[in-house]
Amino acid sequence: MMKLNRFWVGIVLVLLAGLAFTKFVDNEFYFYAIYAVLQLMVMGVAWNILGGFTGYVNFGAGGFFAAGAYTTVFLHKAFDGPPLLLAVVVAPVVCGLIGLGVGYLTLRLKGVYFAIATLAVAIILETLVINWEYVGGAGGYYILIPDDVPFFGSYIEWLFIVILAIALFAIAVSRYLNSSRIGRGLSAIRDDELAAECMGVPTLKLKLISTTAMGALMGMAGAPFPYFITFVEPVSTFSLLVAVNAIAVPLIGGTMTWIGPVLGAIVLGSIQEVVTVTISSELNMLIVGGVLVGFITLAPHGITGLYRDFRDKRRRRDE
Amino acid sequence: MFELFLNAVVAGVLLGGFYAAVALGLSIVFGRLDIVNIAHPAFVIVGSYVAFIINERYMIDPILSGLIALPFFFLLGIGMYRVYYVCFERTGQESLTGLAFFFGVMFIIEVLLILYYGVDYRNVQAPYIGKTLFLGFLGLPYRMLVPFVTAALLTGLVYLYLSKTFLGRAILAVSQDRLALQLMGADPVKVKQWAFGIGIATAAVAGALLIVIQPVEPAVGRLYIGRVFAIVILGGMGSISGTFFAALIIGIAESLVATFIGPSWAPAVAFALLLLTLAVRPQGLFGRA
Amino acid sequence: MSEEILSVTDLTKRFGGFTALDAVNVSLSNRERLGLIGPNGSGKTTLINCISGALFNEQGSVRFKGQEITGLKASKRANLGIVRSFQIPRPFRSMSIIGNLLIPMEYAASDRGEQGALRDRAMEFLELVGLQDRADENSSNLTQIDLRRLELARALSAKPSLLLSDESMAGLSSSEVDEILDILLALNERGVAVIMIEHIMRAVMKFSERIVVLDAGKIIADGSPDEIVANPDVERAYLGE
Repeated sequence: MMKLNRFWVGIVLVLLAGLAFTKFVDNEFYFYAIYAVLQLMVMGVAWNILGGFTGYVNFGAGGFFAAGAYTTVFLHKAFDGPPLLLAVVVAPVVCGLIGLGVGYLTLRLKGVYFAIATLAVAIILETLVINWEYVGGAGGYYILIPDDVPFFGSYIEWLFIVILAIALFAIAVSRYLNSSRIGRGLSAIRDDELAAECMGVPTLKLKLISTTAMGALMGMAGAPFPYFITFVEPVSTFSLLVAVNAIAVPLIGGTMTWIGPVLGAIVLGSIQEVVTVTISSELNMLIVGGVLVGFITLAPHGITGLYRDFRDKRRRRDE
Repeated sequence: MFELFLNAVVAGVLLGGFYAAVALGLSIVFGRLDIVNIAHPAFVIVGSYVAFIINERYMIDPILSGLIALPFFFLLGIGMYRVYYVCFERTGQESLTGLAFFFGVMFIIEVLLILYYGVDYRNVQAPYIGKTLFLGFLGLPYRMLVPFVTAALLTGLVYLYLSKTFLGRAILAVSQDRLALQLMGADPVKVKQWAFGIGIATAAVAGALLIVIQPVEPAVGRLYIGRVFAIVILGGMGSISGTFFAALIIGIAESLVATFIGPSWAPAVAFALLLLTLAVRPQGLFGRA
Repeated sequence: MSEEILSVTDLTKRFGGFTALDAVNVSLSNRERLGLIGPNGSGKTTLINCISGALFNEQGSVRFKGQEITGLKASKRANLGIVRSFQIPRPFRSMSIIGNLLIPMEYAASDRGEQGALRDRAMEFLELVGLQDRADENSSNLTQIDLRRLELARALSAKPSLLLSDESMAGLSSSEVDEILDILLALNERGVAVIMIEHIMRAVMKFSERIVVLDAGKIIADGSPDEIVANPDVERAYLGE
């Protein structure tokens, strides 16, 4: 019980700290930078629910993220600039449904085939958007940022609070899925799907929950993106970088627990921001790839795995 | 209308033949060795850039350049396999982390190319580019015809190599029939290393063909991921003749979609076919069931 | 005889053109110990798969406790009380030994108790197989015999009324075979009916009240151990004339 309370107290404290941050900090750069890190965190957390907890590697993360962003674009055009929060609610529903559909279509596939199928889904979504003139097609779509923002000093401060809330929500969902009965069922699927099914785990149902949650959170990460970037076009929104980031974050942090992708996002996101500012954004991409491959080959269990090994070693020495 | 249709089909056949060259290496590596080298198209793009550099600097025919690069790609493949084997296969965690590994490699290759050559499209010079052979109302552009013929020859050579030579037969047996391999006295790791080398070596030629067909920039490779996996899986995982025919099917389908619906829809064709195959008949059209 | 728990009627299973099981009929009473034997490739594991739901049969029916379960998923059958162990142990490798037991307790047996209470109950099962002192060890580094013990403890914690034991003793030493036999008998004492597939004849003969012999997908004999030993068809199937 104690631990549960501590978690929720932590969540509330972080949110309050975020609000205080908007009051006391004026330099907009910090909000843009932290926004990017938090967006990365939501994507990593979302990817990890299916990839880490359930053991189904998904290369289509970019597709779900972009579907979220384009839900916002669609709403923006259809309702003449509705409030951002509408998109934050609708996008996860849309993307969750896409996740559910993709799950039905592809979850009979094992491992590698599933991963390739998700990549196919992302490319098909991209082709659909490119050919959908209503949301701008290949040319892209501009979103004008509303001038007046109640309570906050500027729009980016408001966006920052929105993505912070989304990140905390995603962490809470991920933690619930990780530490509950559902989470233990997902781990069983990851370890041995047939044995899990024979031990009473309804594998199909749990996998569908997992893809739906992944899709919904990924879409949620994408929902405020058009307001952040102000110009949305398919090629960069469906970029492979999104998929690579979403995979790199949990693999760097560790995939077995909810905390892994949170740590991974803080580490990778901070490196990226520093490199982008001090050197160049191309080099930044190279670093993502390099860090990803480095961790996969040298520390396959990520930061949390390194910590666990370290702890075990020390305990053994103490004994 | 009929002429348009027939032209589209012929263009599709030529395109498909080229796709076979791109998919060939993956057919061996994924179909026979069970290594999910998702970075294969990225190696093809490297092949294109190598052909571009040799062609620009020494005015050597791009396809000949591809052949010059081939042994180096073979060695590169052997090196890649060593890393893969030491880090993943030996520790028995190959499938998913190995996949993520190749995904990362693909990304790194792409970014390195962007860093060195930027995102501009590059192309090559050859006397046959720009000319077209007319047979009645059928137009066969040489920039498509030459790659088709080269790809068909390459496919035939690989087919003969795998079915007629000792090492080739060992490659065919390596994942399916451990016992046969043992009886042949072949070390599976060495066989796989050799096969991976051949797989990457074909990318040198495929890359040269690609840049003959169209200008190339680093991100072009991604569109080939769906195509090559669709072809390998449709073709029945590692069957060389199956791969060739599956490539023709994808080529024709794309050509028809591009002609009658619009070129911007063409990239989705292979992926849609792939999804359909995976959902309905995972063992492929020419599968060994 | 006590009441019937499982009845398999006219069950046929084909893989492509190959008929793995051909109109098989088997029934089992409550708490019965049945041995299932036959040469390699005779369809024993396929039959276990069809009963547990890992494979679906196209023809024939499987009834459990009077309920038609053909077409039901394996997880549903586990809920009803059919649990299997695997020929090659398949532990949940990322979990501790006791963690392996919590999965069937929470899922197959739908035990929604507090984690602490669940752990206490899981410890009982571990005691039965002799793994109680190693509950928190990781399950990925176990020896063969311990893997078999875990496999059985995990099956037991699903609260089965029918256990399908698929070669739980293959590759074990003679004393280890006796130990697994004792565990299976103790399970049976608790009211679990057992179908045992086994190649070790000594174990099958000692354990079974009744034996069914499969050969090339067909049942060629069904009777007490003594009858089976005396049956000329069985001898022929094994020695292959």
